[in-house]
Amino acid sequence: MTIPVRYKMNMGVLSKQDLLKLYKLEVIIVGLGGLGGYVANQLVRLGVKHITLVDEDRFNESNLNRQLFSNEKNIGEYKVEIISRELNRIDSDASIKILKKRIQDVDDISGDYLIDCVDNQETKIYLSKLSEKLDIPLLHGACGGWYGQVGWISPKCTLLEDMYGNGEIGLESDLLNPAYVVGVVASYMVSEFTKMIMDSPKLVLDELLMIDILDNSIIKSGGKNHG
Amino acid sequence: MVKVTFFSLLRSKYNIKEVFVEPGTINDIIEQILEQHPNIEKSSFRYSVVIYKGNPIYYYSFNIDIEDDEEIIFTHFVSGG
Repeated sequence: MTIPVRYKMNMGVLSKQDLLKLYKLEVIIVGLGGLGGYVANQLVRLGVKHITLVDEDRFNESNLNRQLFSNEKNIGEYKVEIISRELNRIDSDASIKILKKRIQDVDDISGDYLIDCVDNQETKIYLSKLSEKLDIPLLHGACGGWYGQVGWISPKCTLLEDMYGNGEIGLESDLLNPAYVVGVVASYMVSEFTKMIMDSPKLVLDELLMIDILDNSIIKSGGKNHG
Repeated sequence: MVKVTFFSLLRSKYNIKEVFVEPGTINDIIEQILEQHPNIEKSSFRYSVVIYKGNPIYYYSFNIDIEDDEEIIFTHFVSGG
């Protein structure tokens, strides 16, 4: 197999087998706001060829501070339509399916990995349950203010239900979401995605990588006893 | 001793990374932290989440016992996207 020139700069960390895996698998990205746009962009540039984008929203002016594919000209347009088009400009061979609806309203969906880029707790819990139903792992990401959290959640793990199921409000309600934090957290998500493809023992699984950009520190939540 | 790590908002606000306290419930531990650091507002803990053995614990369960040589993290979660 000849490595396409477009992927050569990835091959210091990826093997040919890893790239072949990336070509074949189907990734479902739910939420195409801040995190979702960056994650989709990086996955296509990594070599993922089959992506389903799920989001019912259209771009609006408040997205311009951080959402990678938003601009003044596409305000009012569906995010999944714009992002699908942009991803195919990066890789015209990529197969991008779009669903202009809430994930809760999708009847039939399948894939190898589910990626949580949504911005609300109710949907994060729904995705955790969907991961169990589909029996595929969920890559969780969230951000707010200077802070973020990232981790793989296995299908039977209840960490997100335990974290979000009590009605408490996340820090983002006060600290909101600046662009640089979104970019960092999305990059950590894609880094964890890459480790999953490589079967790396360094994978953050059923725990959270907790990121504090203000303090320049990262810790793991520890524990793998959920569910 | 119990190792208590401050993370995210609490770390930023009080510039404290970790403290060591005697074993007890999380409520007892908060009281010890307040004695060591009187500048900390007790209400700061009300809106935090404790991570203990990988599990999130909220204020309504702060009566749980933390044993000697264990570690807990006071942090906040985020859910933005």
